[in-house]
Amino acid sequence: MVLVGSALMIDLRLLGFGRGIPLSSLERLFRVMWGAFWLNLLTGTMLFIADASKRGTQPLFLIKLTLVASGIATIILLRRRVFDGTKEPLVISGAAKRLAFTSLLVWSAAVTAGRLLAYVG
Amino acid sequence: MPELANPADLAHVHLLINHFPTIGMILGLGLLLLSFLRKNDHLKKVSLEVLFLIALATMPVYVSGQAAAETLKGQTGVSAEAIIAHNDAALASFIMMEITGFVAWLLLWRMRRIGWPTTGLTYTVLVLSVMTVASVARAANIGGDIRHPEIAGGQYAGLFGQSSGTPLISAAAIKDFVLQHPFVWPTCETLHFLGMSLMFGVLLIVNLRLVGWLRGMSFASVHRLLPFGLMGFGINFITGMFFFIAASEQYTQNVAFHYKVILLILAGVNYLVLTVYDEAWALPASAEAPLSGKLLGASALVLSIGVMYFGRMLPFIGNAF
Repeated sequence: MVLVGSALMIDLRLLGFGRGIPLSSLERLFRVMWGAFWLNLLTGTMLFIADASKRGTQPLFLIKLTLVASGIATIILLRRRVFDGTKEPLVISGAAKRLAFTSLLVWSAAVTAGRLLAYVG
Repeated sequence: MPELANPADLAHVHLLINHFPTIGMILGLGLLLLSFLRKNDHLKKVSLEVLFLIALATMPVYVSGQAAAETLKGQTGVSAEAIIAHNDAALASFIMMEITGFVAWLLLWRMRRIGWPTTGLTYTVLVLSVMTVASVARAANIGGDIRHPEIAGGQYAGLFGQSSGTPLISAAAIKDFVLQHPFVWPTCETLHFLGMSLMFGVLLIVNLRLVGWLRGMSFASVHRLLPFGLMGFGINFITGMFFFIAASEQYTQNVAFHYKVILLILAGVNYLVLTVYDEAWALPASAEAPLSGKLLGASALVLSIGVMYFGRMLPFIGNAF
């Protein structure tokens, strides 16, 4: 929730909501997200070990992992492309907006896949 | 984990708090009308705050009512028909109440941004409040028929002898819908988690700003995000109600759910304070919030993490599926 919640906020900001928020001030949020990611990786691995033969063969589980990896990739790309400079961009480029929108979709899909794991197969 | 309350205790709680919604709504509406008469925006703000708080206070009333119904089930001198009619009427008024609370909050949020109440939203709140008062009074009246032999003689016939008729919203129909279609529960669970991400994302940013960790932004700029937080809450309220109506026993007798509701109400009060908090509103970028603001932010984070913790623990501490 910390990871996805933060990612969604950055995506929304880039898509034009809360324009008064300076992008540079959101940069510290990446640290929060990485912390949350490592925690999720650790606890997720433990949960996986407890149930590996079932999860390892479950297509939806592999889809979820792919989506999480793609989500992380969008975050790394966003950080590199949008949060690199020292000066505040006045307009968010179309490419950055598309990336933010992709990130929004990928993270929502990852949450969806994760939640459905409890109900499918 | 030790029990907080058994169903009989909750039935008692229901009797204790079941007049809050009716009286609170009348009070909120009264203050709103008075604010028109006196042309006083400050009073209007107070009336909106009251309406929001009453919408929050109605949550435990509805939830404990379900526990009361479970306790009363099968007892003599109780009209089962009246219980069902009361539940349906209460559900309808609960929904009305939450919509009113939501719009009242929206107006408070707008007022904070532009400084005065906008006409459209103000009249929407007024109309909704009138409708909610009527709806909640009807629910309360039918509730009184459940076990007041001096009124109904144990036989439910409705006020003035009229029958309750087909309800607009039927809890039984919602329960059937959720339980008979296998896709509904997982869909609601998924939406519940998406709503949670949205709500918690907003809470995280706004409250980290207050605590001082994301100091680079002015409070006014993050205030802009608050409606997204409430939107997330709205999604979770609706989907959560589907779970509760479909399988109420696994929540009414679940200590994790009791804690969740208590923390949720406290978090709601915190959100209201955050929306109207003067000292924070004036905070420019990089300025440190006063101690009260830091405490407010820290408590919001603790409360919302607590709500998520007990939500996640529903199947582990308690018995929910």
